[in-house]
Amino acid sequence: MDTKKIKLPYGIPGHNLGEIERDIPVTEPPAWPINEKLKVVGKPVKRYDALAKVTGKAKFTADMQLSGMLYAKFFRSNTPKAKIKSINTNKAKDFPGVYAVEVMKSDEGELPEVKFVGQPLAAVAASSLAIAEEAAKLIEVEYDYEDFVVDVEEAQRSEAPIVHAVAISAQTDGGDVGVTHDGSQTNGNIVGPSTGSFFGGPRGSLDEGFKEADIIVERVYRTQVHTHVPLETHGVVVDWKPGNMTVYASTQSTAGVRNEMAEYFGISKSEVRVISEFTGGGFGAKHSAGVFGPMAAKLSKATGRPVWLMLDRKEEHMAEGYRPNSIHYLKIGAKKNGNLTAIQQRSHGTAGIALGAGVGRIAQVLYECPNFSTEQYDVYTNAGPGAAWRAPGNAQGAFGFEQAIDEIAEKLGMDPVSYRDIIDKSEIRKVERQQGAEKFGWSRRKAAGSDSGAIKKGFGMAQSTWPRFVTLDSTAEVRLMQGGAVEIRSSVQDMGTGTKTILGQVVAEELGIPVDYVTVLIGDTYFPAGPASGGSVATGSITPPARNAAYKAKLELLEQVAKKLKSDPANLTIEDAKIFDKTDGSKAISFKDALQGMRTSQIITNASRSDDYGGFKQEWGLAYGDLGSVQFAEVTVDTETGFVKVDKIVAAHSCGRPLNIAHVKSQINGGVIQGLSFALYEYRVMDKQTGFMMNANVDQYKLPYSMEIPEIESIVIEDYSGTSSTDAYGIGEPANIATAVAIANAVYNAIGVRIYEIPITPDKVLKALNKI
Amino acid sequence: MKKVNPIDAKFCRFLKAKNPFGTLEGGDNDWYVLEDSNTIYWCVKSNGAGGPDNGPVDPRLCISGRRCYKQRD
Repeated sequence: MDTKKIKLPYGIPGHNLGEIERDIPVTEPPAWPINEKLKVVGKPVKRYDALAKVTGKAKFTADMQLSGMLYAKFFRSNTPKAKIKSINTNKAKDFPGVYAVEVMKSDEGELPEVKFVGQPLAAVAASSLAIAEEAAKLIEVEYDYEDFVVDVEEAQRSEAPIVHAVAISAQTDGGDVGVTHDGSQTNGNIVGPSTGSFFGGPRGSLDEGFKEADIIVERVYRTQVHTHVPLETHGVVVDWKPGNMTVYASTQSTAGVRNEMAEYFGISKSEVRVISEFTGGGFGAKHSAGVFGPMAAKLSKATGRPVWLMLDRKEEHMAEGYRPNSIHYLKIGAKKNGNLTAIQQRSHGTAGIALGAGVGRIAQVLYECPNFSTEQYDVYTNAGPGAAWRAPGNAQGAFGFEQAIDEIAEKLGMDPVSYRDIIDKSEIRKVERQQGAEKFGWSRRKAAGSDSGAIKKGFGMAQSTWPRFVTLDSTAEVRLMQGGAVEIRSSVQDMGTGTKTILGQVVAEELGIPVDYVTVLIGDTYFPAGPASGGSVATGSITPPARNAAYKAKLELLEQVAKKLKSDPANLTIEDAKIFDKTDGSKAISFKDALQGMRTSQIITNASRSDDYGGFKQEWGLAYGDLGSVQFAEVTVDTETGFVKVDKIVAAHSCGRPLNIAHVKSQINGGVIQGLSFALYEYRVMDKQTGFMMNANVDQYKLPYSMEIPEIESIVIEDYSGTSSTDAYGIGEPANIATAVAIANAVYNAIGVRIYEIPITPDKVLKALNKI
Repeated sequence: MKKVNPIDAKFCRFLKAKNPFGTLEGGDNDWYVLEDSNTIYWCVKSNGAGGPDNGPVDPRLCISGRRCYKQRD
């Protein structure tokens, strides 16, 4: 690829801002200056869909109403473990208003084994949701009941019932399966350990490291199962006509759903169109077609009608994912000068019948330490499958690790912020600590438990890191049209984070036009492939192609305008929707007039995500640098009642070039609120006797209400690295990782006793204070 | 688990994953398994964490030879 050299902003404004020279593809635009010199990008531009959302005009998947549409309802298991002898759907089929009933079966006709309460076994499609619900109740199942286990610690015992008690047999013609996982030849329900990570992993010698240590902190930390509770539940509307399946989906990945539906039914991807104009949150759990996608498609095919299949809140809690719990052992050694000498990590957690309950990479990478080992175990239980949850594993891991670091600081007689100045090599977090501490008023912090009286104030802080990832399969198309319309198209979806608006801003900035000139058409797999919205990758993946496509369209337009104005295209520029010759101001034309005069009705350009300028750490999209964050928490603890009130959070974050400061702050607010809820409120209660989730609602599953949400002040620090034409990254994950442990550290500072388990409910506080 | 070559690993075509860093893996997508302790796996064919044979969905098990295994194209 032909390249050219340009200079890009590099560093942190007000701290170490400079420039860096990079080779970039010749087709890509010159560098933008830092945000203060831009007109649209970085500014708090109002969301494109703000009015539609607040007035109810925005149509989410659950709102879809298509001609002849049927409503579907799952029939789910009411036992956590059983073999199914038979399923009788006759009564449901005969119920007036029912159009079809489908039973979950393998291609070979095998019925599934039941492994958790709420497992979908069949579904009914009917003329109304009420009829579908009534009919589903008429489905009869004959179970062969089996012993089960839902508790993560009981599941680890040798006598515990085996969750996946199925022998995996090799094919008769031989094969490579060398493991028979029936529980007898492995460690029962325990899977693992995972001992490595691409981002850290084992190194050095723990023995040597602990020998060198002057102090050692050794603790076990516990975090709870935390469900996602997006405003919009999982679900789809599927309209399968011959040769064309249209799927309206509440999803974080239109392309992922399209691909899975095509794979499941063995049809071409081009036969499947997935549309997600609005998605009411996902937080990591909405990447797949799920069980509801193929089921709705089967019912649509069987009836020849569109089928609506959205889950209710109870189903959402029981069957559509959660953040796994963790029992996290940490042993950390440090020298008197603060340097860490060894970190030993061991964790057990459950994602129910699924895998993925590790505690992430925080302990592995946040601070330098020459001697490290990790053992992360999954424990199968008879509960629904876990799912990715905003920074998977990292909030759980940080809860233990950043408490341990605080404890080390205290043993060393150091302030927690000052201690991190010693052990943390990150330049961005250094700035975040400085600015955050000042805004928070960290100097108010007193010795732990020193506040007098029953009501005690506490101050705490914690840090986190998140890698910079991009999805290279990210393409945007820009269209300039006679009549003045400007469009950007991509299949990338907006699950509420503001992706639509930042794409409009990027195109507007590049074209020198107001943002309201730009129509953003996304969330449709008929548009060029966009990334999934997960792992904080969407912004860094799709905004550079958007800018680059707009740049190409601009060059084509200026080429045409130059002929009319008798100018050199290189002398033309666009500002405030006016195209003019920089060497002769009399040669000018409005942007809209220029579009009207195009030689064809449209200019269409597209661009895909190029490699980072300066390359990747890994060629598949791992960028250099990280997304650091530092959060500070102020709490009030009533030592008579045990109630904790979070009074204030100061959250200092970076996401490269912030594209819309209001959106970034909104994301931080959301991450902090979910972190606070993780720290104090939410937890799943499972009945060990029945296997049911006892609080599968939003009444007893406690979420914070408005008066429990503190003042949140965010500090967004621009951090330029010259890696792409927008130099922007996401903020979804980083915003959520440090909050819970910052609160835990603040609670300790208030009462002088550490609490090693969340949620920090009043009973735990009173127990810690020996009051109950 | 280290980074794997899906051809060498002989992963089932219906094994899918989302790694903690947002990348969807399996199907036409490459496999990285960057941090298996936080990677979520599911089977497209059974729509869940249990396979069509009712065994667990696990990249160590969803490979050539398993009864429900289907080869990638």
